[in-house]
Amino acid sequence: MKNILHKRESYLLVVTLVLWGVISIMNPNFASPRFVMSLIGFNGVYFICALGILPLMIKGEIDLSIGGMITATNVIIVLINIKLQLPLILIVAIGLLVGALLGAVSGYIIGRFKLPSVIVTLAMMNIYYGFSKYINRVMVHDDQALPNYNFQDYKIFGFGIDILFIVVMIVSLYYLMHYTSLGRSVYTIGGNKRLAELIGFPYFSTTMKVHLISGLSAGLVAAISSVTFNNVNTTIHSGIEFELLIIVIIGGVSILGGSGSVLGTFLSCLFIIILRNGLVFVRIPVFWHDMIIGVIIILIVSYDMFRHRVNLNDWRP
Amino acid sequence: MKKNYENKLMMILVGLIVFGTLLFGRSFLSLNTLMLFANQLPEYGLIAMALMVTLIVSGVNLSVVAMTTLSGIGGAILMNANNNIDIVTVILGVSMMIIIGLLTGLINGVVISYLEVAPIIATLGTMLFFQGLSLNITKGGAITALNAEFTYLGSGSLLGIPIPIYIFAIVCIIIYWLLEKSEFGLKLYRIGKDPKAAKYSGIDVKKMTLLAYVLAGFIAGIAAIIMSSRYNSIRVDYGSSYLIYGIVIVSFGGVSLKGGKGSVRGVITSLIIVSVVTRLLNLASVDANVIEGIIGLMLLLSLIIQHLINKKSVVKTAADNK
Repeated sequence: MKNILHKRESYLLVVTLVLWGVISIMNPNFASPRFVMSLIGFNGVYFICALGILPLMIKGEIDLSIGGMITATNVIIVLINIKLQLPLILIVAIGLLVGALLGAVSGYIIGRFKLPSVIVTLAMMNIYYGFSKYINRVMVHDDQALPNYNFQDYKIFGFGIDILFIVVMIVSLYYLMHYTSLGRSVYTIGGNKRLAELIGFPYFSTTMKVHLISGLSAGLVAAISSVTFNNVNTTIHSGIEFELLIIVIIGGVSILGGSGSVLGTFLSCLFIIILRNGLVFVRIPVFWHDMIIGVIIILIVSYDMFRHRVNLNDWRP
Repeated sequence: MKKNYENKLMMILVGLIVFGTLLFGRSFLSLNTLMLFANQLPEYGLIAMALMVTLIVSGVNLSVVAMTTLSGIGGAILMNANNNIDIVTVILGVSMMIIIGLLTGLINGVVISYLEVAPIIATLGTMLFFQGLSLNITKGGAITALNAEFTYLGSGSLLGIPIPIYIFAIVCIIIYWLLEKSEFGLKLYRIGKDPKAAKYSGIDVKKMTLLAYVLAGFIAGIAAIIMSSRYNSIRVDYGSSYLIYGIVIVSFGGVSLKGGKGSVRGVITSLIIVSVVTRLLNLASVDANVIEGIIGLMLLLSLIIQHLINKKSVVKTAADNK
């Protein structure tokens, strides 16, 4: 019982529920679960990508190129679709394929040359943004819009299709992290790289796979946003990297790797979304939002460090 | 080994300049290019220096640009509040910017070294905090029409050389002295290489880390002076692209993101290389976005080449030891 209370997931859940309750009291429109579901649907990008970079962060890496990958995939989808006018399912397939390919490129470079992921993905981000902005401006014109897919009309059990994607993402990630050898090697390498290598966990293929997952999530988001908006917006996803970093860290991932969970990431995503939108609903001026979130991150992480130190002292004989 | 990399950077730079002169002749090797560099280099250079100082003690400082704009806004407000006595106003504004820079550095330092938050998260948090504070003060607008004497600092020139260049040079010399000639710098490098070993050899790691972040804050304050006086205004989103660009420059200049490595000379050389490449591509009328991509590619290639060279030298020394 004490264990459950001390887990990140449980206090995130409590804090999120309390926040939701307080905002709902101040503005009853916020209270309906249906509204919260639609909020989740609109912010599907964050859920999908945060879960997508989770394995990579547990392994102790950082992916700054995810916004760039989304934009690049988006441009490629639109370029193909201007000529071919594909059905929805094929667009998702192309998005996943291209995203996986882009993720594999950074995975190969980081794994093969053992370079720090921060700076490799930073370079990749520059490359993706630079070239896709250029290609978009030169080759895509506004009058060549995609066919209209009426993406918002697809419903499953009354919910939008975005929810389905999020659920698929959660279930598959949970399975990957808990029931496969990939999950075990991700946690072990994140916990102690040298030890993992001595035991024999494959460093290169694990690196490839975690970047592949991050690429897949970027491709999925790119496919969704290209059929939702029917065009390319090369700036809409810039800055998503840092937002994702915040979400994943609040969700209990250590920046050094080795810890973190799917449930924690999901809850922290929910927490950030309810916080960001709730602040609007209780009419706090937008100027305060970033400040509040900045302070929350520092408080949560330093509280963690504090508790960690206290625990260490307890363990000392 | 360390000096080796810088010499290679120098050679690349000389090669680029020769190449550019052969290709474009007078239009590259002209006063125009030099003036362009003189206007751009100091701002990018100061941001890169502030990043380098904290990277040496192994921490990415994501909040550098937010610190710069916040100190610029603080100083600008103070100057606009009493805009009557010229020289006093300038001194007040300049010292206000530096003080706010130092304060923001102090906040970063305390959070990182005493609350023990990992640098990248701590500075991500403070970045949001400083940006939010600046937004709160300005409500998103720009603060314009600064003191005329103050704008001279950014746009005036002395003996034909723009004043920002002098400021940048002085800051570089100070940092060079602090990092590479004084005991303070030696300690910083040691902490970056191995914090635990540094601690056991009697270095006050927490205090030194704090001081490194305060120094970064000081540099950010100076950058704020140049930025606000050159534009004659200051706004929250000024320099929003500088952070990524600064990290690219710093890592191309041989500063390791793992800490303990990096030198003023390397960063300055890489700064000039990146500017020369940008200028050459501009002259070849390459699209600005493509230039962004090419710089990313350059960074990636330099990383891979560095890795291959290091591997070769490791193999060689191992063979020598046998």
